[in-house]
Amino acid sequence: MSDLKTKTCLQEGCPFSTTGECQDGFNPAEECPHLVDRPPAGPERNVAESAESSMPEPEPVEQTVYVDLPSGDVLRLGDVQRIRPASIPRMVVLAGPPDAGKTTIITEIYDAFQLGRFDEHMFAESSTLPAFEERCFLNRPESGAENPDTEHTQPRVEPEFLHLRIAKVATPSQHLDLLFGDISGEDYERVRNNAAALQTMDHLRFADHVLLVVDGASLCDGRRHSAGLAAGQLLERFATDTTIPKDAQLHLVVSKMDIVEAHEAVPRAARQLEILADSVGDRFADVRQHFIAARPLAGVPEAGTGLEALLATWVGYGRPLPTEGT
Amino acid sequence: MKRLQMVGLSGSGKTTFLAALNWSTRHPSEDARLVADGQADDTQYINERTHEWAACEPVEKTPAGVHRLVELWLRETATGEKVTLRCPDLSGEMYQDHWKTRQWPQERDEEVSASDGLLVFVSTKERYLPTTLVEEAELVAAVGGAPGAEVPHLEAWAPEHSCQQVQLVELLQFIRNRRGLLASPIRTCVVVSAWDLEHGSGSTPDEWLRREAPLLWQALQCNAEVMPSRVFGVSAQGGAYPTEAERLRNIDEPVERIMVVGTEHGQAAQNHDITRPLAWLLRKEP
Repeated sequence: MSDLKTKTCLQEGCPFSTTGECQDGFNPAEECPHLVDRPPAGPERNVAESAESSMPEPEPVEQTVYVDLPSGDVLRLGDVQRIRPASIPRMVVLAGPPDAGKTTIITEIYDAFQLGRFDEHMFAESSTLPAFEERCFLNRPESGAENPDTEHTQPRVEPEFLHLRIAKVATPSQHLDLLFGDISGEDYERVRNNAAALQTMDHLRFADHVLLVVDGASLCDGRRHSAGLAAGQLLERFATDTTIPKDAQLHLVVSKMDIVEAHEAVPRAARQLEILADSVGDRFADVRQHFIAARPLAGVPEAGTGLEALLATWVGYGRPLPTEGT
Repeated sequence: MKRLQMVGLSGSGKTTFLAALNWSTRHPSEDARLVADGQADDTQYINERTHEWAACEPVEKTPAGVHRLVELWLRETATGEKVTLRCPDLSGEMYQDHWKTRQWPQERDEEVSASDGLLVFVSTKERYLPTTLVEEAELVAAVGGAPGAEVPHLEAWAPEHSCQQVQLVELLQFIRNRRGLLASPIRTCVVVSAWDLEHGSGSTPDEWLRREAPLLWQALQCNAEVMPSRVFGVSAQGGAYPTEAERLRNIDEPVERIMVVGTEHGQAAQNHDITRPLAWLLRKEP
């Protein structure tokens, strides 16, 4: 039992002297290294002075050695080796103007795994969990936001990638690594306006899948003509340049289909994608069309509509490995 | 010597489990798979927790930042093999620190590398899923509420904002990463504690995990080759304190307070044997 009369604690504020309890949680308190013997009774002295004058020579404190764990930060092109790929990672690049919903597509795929929404695919691992969490944060009450949102992707010197390792439900031990290029809409605007800007997007050389995201909300108001023009111009840059591999798959995506449906603009959205698809001919290995409501504001249709079908196309196709001599 | 790692965030029931395990192995039921076989040199910590458990008092939570090492000397009843369990009983806050700081002590690295099995604790009393703003708005609307009129003050993301299942998934990723690709598989037992609260719902522990922590469940399914896993529902207390303490104290054999629900040979099985999760961890067959 702790002896309040013969011992005292050197730590300021420790309740040991009054209650016998150790503020660091040692139980019994005698195990606490800060507990020392009180000085013997003698001429009245300030207790603190007494403690200080009888303070034992401090023992050298053993420094704890820490091991660094994976940072969880976004990946850069040179970091791909860090993920110890289960397979040749498939790169998915989402392109489009600012606020088209590119990052929201990525974060809603992540949240769909978190909430167990996918029927055919499962989450196996991610090297960038904190990066995903940060991008999802404006859809969490803790953020203080009133409405779900996604933080605007800022232009960066180097492209950043988020990583997911997934598997099909039917074959959970067979993993596939997906890398999502999280590139700002402003960077793609520069490409649209200047062909030379495409040369700074080195990551496009490795793309297995390129998504051109058309902001569905912009098809529902006065912006619809310029939105179609901008999408066509960006696509033309991609198609006429050789940076994107010829065997990459092109995905034409209309986002925010909840807004499109609410404005009865579905035929217009479908027509827009047909125009874009016709413009690229056979430049790409395949051209797919998707209509996505990743995070409907009113909860209708269900969050993540269209995402699992999109995911399935990425899982179903990867660019063939280069053969020797090519 | 067998070394087990216990992983679990604050409030997940690690220490209560250890206390009940210590009592059970010293007062084994007829079908107990593991029994006590002597005692380690330093048993003060586990003895105190065990006495609290026996008296139906809340088992003292491991203080934040504190790291206790519990060593139990046991014997497998089926084979007679001696088993020494070394279980670091870290506070849940320390595991959360690993997620936040992306570091852990060198000794933790050594423990993880040398571990023969992993006990991952979750609790029916905790929430593991993230709450989204869409979900919150639906909840508010369902009770007839309306959004607030104040201008929102936006916070920046910090690791402590992440939901518990993400933190647990990352901890398991850390463990796999530090053990390395060439390490032998590490059996992983998920203990869903406070199972008494879920008992009677019709869900098995595995179904509960799939519903309440789907990301964790999926990660375990997909990594079964390196982390073969099984889920057990465990109520180490047998009921809530203090409301049920009197009833529980009146049970003649304290081990009979314990509820363990798992799967045996493909069938749901329930008994009082809290050593079952450990027995599975130590077993070599599937």
